Amino acid sequence: MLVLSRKVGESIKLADDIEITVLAVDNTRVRLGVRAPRHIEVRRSVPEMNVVEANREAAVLAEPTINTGLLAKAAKEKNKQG
Amino acid sequence: METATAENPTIEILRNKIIEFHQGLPGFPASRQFVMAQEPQERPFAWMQSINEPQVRFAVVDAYAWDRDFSLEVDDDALSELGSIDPVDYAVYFILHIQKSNGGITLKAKPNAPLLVNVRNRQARQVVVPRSSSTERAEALCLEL
Repeated sequence: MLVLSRKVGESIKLADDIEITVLAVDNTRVRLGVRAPRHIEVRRSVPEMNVVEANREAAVLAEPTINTGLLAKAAKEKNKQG
Repeated sequence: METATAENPTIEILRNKIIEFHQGLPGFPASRQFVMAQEPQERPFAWMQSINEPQVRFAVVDAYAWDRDFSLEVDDDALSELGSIDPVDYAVYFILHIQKSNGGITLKAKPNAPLLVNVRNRQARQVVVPRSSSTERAEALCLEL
């Protein structure tokens, strides 16, 4: 891994057409600006939640005990919270 | 032009209409078309009912009605696949988890994986957004019934 130090406002260039600029820094976060051609996909490599798993958990699979009045009740409660 | 606010949830625009997940919904690749089924008293909630797999449905809520300060940043590329990069064309929903506990029911939103629906052509997709103060706040807002 190549490790570089940059000050705010400074940038690094990757190949000819990708430029990454440090825009701001605070204690725990760095704000980066990325200038790149449109076809370059920028991926945030944060741990992504498992959407497949989450959707399967959330699906109401013909569950008879979830009654039809549930959402009306939820709406009433939500409106109470304002 | 209709835009989403807490007072005017976009779920109204799509009530009982069919939306289409061109790529399928993650975990349910066979389910591409859903109806946003909603009785007036259920607003801003709705059942997102699969047409392709009738046994599959999800409780959903208009994201901005769930949390009026929710904000979302999505890459233009993800939006252009749905036919528009103009934010006013989109409705945003959270899928709700229905958890049963101690005789009660808790509804929890999953704001890290919202559903985007282009309300003009009803093309939809689920996107994953990074954790932020906004998603964390929306996640903390659970509803006890």
